[in-house]
Order: sequence, then structure tokens, then C-alpha cells
Amino acid sequence: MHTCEHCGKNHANIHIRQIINEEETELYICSSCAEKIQQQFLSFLKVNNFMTNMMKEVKPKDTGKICPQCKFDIEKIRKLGKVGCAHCYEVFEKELDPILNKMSARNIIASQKSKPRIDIDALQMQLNAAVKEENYEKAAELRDKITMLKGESHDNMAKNRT
Amino acid sequence: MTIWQKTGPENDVVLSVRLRIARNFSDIAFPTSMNIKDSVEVKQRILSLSRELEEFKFRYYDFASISKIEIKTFIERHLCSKELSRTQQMSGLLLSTDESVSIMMNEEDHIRAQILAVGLDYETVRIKADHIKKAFDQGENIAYKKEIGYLTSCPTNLGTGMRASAMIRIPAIIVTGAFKQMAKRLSDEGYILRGIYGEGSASVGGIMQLSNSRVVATNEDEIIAKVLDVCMQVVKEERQQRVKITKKRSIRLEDKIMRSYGILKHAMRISQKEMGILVGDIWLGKDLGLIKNLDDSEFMHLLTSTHDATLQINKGEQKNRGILNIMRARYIQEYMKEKECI
Repeated sequence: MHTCEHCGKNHANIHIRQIINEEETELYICSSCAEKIQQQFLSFLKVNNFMTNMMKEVKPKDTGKICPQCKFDIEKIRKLGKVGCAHCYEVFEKELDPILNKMSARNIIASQKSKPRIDIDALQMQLNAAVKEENYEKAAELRDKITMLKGESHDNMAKNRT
Repeated sequence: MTIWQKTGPENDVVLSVRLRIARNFSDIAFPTSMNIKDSVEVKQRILSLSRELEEFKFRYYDFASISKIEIKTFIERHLCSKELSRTQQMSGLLLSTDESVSIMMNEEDHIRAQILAVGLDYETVRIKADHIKKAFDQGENIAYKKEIGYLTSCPTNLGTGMRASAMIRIPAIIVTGAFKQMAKRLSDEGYILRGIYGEGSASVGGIMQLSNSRVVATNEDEIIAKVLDVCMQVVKEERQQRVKITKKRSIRLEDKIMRSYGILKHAMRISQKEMGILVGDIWLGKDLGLIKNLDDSEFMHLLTSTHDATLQINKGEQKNRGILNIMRARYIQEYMKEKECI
């Protein structure tokens, strides 16, 4: 007869055998503790908790900042493992930075975002037209814009390769 | 006709593949912190952006005005997540007529598009996903930041905002005990296997969901290439194990399969849980050549159309569990008879 290994009080009527990476652990517990453990186990499985766990590990500093759009603070983000809105990534940039670095999200460059490409083509056509019309002021403006956009997309491609 | 009535490549092991795309609007609070007014605005914006996507012939379901039971049928048929039903008042669903594309509104992110194809067919899902992305990325204020990509509620989805997964059926790998080794190998490669109804749910009929567990810095092409490679590994392994079992002719296993067949064919009451196990058994029987005249898509139909909420909706009346069990048994019997399943 076993007593519950969790609370040490009740009679253990549940036997849990867990095998993780070929390592076997056994646990004799009572039903009320089992319920608690099961909940912990299930929440552990959630990917979101991967975030909360990471937050615990990295421990972002609470600087008392509050996001003006969604009113989240770093404590709330830590608790939920989620941010409240797009602005949070600006407001808490410093706090989230170590986590993002850890996830190597910094190196993730968003999918081949199609916008700049289309923009470049359109601008190029406008530039050609401006040159034809001998409107050099406009042409120079367009040229600068194109160089800037090209620079960005090269930047992206370089990062994609790494 | 829904995509589930079709078959696809490697359909004996890969039931379906899925791409999920997450997007948010930068000027509205994410579902983690939004109010009802925000949620209505998000729904309207998505509806107007989706006008570009006529090809899918979407039907719109506003969760604030449909019944819980109807929502449950979507979950049973994998057309939306359980999480979506938790925020019922705020959420909505756009569903294509063939059920291959569903766009969840205000789940964890404002937009969660899910694109499915039967069998190991990432080609088709990729093309559809590109159309959907194009339509949404035209929208104003799509949350995006240069260094970290598309902004999502949970930082684990940052970047491309895309995830790939597959629904696989590996009964032989499970029966022969090769599962442990394979699960370990997959986890080393950053993939996990879960029961079909998402996190924390058990496996039914050897059906599991394969998805990546690790957050990896990759682009979309890499995400798809990698999951395709992993799926092919699983297909190869499962087929090998099926051949192994067929050669071995284990009377114990064959007896179990034929008993399950007997129960499905003659029982008067079957619970949802029992149905899952029994259908799983005879499906393996088909793989081993014991059960004839039912193909993979028909098994899939049997499995998904006999869940509680779906049965109830099809019959149109409120039924208690006992009656549902009787209805289920009758439905299965008739279906097997109609298909002359032997």
C-alpha cells in the first residue's frame, strides 16, 4: 500500500508510469493530486507555454512601461506568453530582444514579401517616363527611392541565405 | 463536393497536409486584448479583403450568431480549432465550399488561414496559400516589422507567419512498437507527433498530427521542403512495417481486426470513443488486405461523420448521448452495407 508521493497524506490509488527519451519514472499518487498534475502536464504540452517558459528563463526586466494601444505591461506578456498588439513589439523591444534572439527570430526574414518588388518595377517605369519627359528633378527622386528599396531587398536576400 | 471525397498522393499514410498563415492588423489590439468593437472591425476588414478570393466561394459563419453545436461540427471536421470556439462572441469563420480553405477570425491572431489538401500534396496548398497571402498582404496596416517579419500574438510565430503540418496514419508503426524510435528521431529533427484533435488529445486509429516543435529560422520554401522530407520518411517506414505485419500473419492481430469488424457490422450501440478505435482497427485491416471495398477517403468519412455534433446536426434534433450511440451504430452499419464492405 502506497501513500501519495505528491501530498504525502492520502492513499495513492493512481500509478503513473512515464517514459521520456527511454527514461522511465514511476509515481504513486492520489486522485486529487493526479488531477493537478494532469493539468500541469497538459499545459506544459502547449506551445504557448514554450514562450512562458522562455520568459521565465530570460526574465525580461520590468521597467514599468505600458503599451499605449493595448495597455499590456511586461508582466502580462510574461503571464500569457503573448503580446497584446503590434505596438508591443516596439514598446517592449528591449525587453523582448533577448527572447527573440534566443528563438533566432531575428534571423527570420518574413516571407518573400512581394510588395517591394512590385514597387520597384512600377517606380522604374515612372523613372523611364520622367527621363523621357526630361523631368530630371522627379527622375532623381525616383532613382533614390529605387536605390533605397533595392538596398532593402538585397539586405533581405542576404539574410535569407544565412 | 468536399476535398475529403477525393484521394491524393501517398494517401495510404498521409491523410492530409496543412499550411497555416497568421496575420494581424497593426492598428487594432490583438485578440489577446481586444474588445467586441475591435473584433467586429477585424471581421469586416477580413470580409472585405477576402472579396479578392472569389475562387474559393467562401461561406461566412459569424460565431456570435451561430449555435455551439454547429461550431462543434467544424472542430470535429478539423475546419477550425478549439481555441476559436472559446472566444465565440468575437470570432468568425470563412469556409470554402470544398472545405479546403478556412479562415479563422480572431483566434490567437486576427487572421489565421488554414489550407488543406488530401494526401501529401504541398504543391496544391502552396498555390492556394500564395493567393491568400497576396489578398491579405494588400490590406492596409498588416503588422510587419523589417527585422522580425509578420507580427503575431505569440512570438513563436514571428517571421513568415507560416507553419506546415500533416495528418498521418501510422497504425503499423504503432502496432510493431517502432513508434518509440521514430518519435525520437522526429523529435531530434524538431518535429512532434500529437493526437488528431490537437494538443493533449489521444491518438485515434493511429492517426497523428505531425508538426514542427522548434522555432527555426527558415523561409517558406525551407519550411515546406523540410516537412515534405519528414513525411516521406514516415511514409517509407509505415509501408515497411505494414509489409512486415502482412508477412508475419499474426493471428492475434488479425483476430482483433476481424472482431472489430464484427462489432461495427452488428452492434446496436457504439460510443464515439469506441467507434474511433474500431474504425482504426478495420482501417489497418484494409492496409493488410483483410478488409475490402472501403478506400482511405471512405474510412476518413466514416471517422469524421459519426462524431456527436455532426450526427446531431445531420439529424437536426437535440439528442442525448444514448440515442446518439444508437444512431451511430445504425449509420455505420448502413454505410458498410452500402459499400459492400467485407
